[in-house]
Amino acid sequence: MNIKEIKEIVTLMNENEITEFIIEREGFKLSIKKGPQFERAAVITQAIAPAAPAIPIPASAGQTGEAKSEPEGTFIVSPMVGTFYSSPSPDLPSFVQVGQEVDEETVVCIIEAMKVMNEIKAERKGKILGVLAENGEAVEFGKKIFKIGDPSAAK
Amino acid sequence: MELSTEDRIIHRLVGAQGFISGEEIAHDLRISRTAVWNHVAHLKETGFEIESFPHLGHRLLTLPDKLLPALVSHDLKTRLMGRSIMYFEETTSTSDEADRLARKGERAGSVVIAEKQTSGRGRMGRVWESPVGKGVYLSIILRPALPPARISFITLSSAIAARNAIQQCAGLRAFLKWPNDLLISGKKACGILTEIKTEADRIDYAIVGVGMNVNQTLFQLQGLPEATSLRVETGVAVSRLEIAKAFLEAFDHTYTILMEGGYKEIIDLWLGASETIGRRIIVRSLSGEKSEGVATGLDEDGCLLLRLDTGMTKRITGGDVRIV
Repeated sequence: MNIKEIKEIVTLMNENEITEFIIEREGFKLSIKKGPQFERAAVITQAIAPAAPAIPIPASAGQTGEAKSEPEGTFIVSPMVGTFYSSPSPDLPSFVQVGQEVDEETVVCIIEAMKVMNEIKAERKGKILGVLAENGEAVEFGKKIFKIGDPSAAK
Repeated sequence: MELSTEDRIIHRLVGAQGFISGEEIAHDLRISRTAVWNHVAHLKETGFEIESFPHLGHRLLTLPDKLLPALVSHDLKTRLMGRSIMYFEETTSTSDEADRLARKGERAGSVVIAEKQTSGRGRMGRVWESPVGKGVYLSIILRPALPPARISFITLSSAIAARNAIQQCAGLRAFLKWPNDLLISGKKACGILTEIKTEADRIDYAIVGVGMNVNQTLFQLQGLPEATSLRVETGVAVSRLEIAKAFLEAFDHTYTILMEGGYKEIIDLWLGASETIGRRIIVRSLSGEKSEGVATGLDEDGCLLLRLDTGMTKRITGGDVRIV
């Protein structure tokens, strides 16, 4: 059985609203399940015989529901050792708030090292999920300072 | 730098020892004698004192007290700094202008100069008082090939340069307070603020903004108890033009050392100009945390080493330093 055949099975299942499909052959078993927790058919393969070649999961069959837990966030990290400032001056509001949509050019904070002020930009489109440093905190190189997720519109 | 016709006439007048004929200028610049005459007339309007006689030509008597690009660039002994000079009678902040230019790709070494800043910046939203014609307010665009972790050396290099320029032009003893405050008689005469833009792990550009109090009088410094000016300290007016040029030349020198990897040399130069090392100091962080002890030196990153009373040494990366 090759990937093309598996794809055909998945397509047939989708077309005919079949939720489960199991096939067993010599040294080989394929089980495909589709349930309410899966958006599309998920493919679970299992080799019974040790000699059987591993069958890769076809990409077109979609990701398994279990593989993804909560929405993945990425982090903005400090490019240098310094002091973290969340606002341009003490009496001004923060550059960004949790929940705010940002783009590549949005300034999220300033890191100061010895009177060098480094305006840190988000460098990607997304939504601020968390501020991980306190105003005035000393941060190390590579410290995660913001958690940023995908923009709302992309969901 | 690219000079306008008028800038080139200024250079000829400044460079001439005595009179220079209109015909000679016209010939050198390949323009008509009428054009020379018109430019000279315009220069007189803008504050150049020039005497003109039919058979002798033109002679420059005094320069206007302005940091015109043609004056700053004349005989400026630099490799990088001042390759091009942008001039403003008035602006919000020379660093704002420099930032705008750098974003559009302006090359390293370009300098923005203003006679007056309406919102000269200090750290954390503080204001640098920038009255017209009294100080030197300039910003330099740099594109240093430094890892961001080494960026503080820009601060040290520029501070050394400001100190050397002031000693050279005003004959004053100036000292550095970590990292880059320039003190004369314990008061601040110069502030330097560097802003950088990083892309991933590299510095896209740095803007070094400098404000020097040159000819402010004691009266004008009222309300700024911790500030002084070169004029207050020397008792006489000091040439802003000379200070500006000396600073660009000195910074060109220290920046070259830095770009050649001379971190150790910069630290040694800084230590030699410092008023911090060996002194008892209090460092206050933004969050209000205070550390007190004796400043013992700089580490290889330029951070200040503070020996606390407990005997432990603390590495200071930021905050306000007060000498006690």
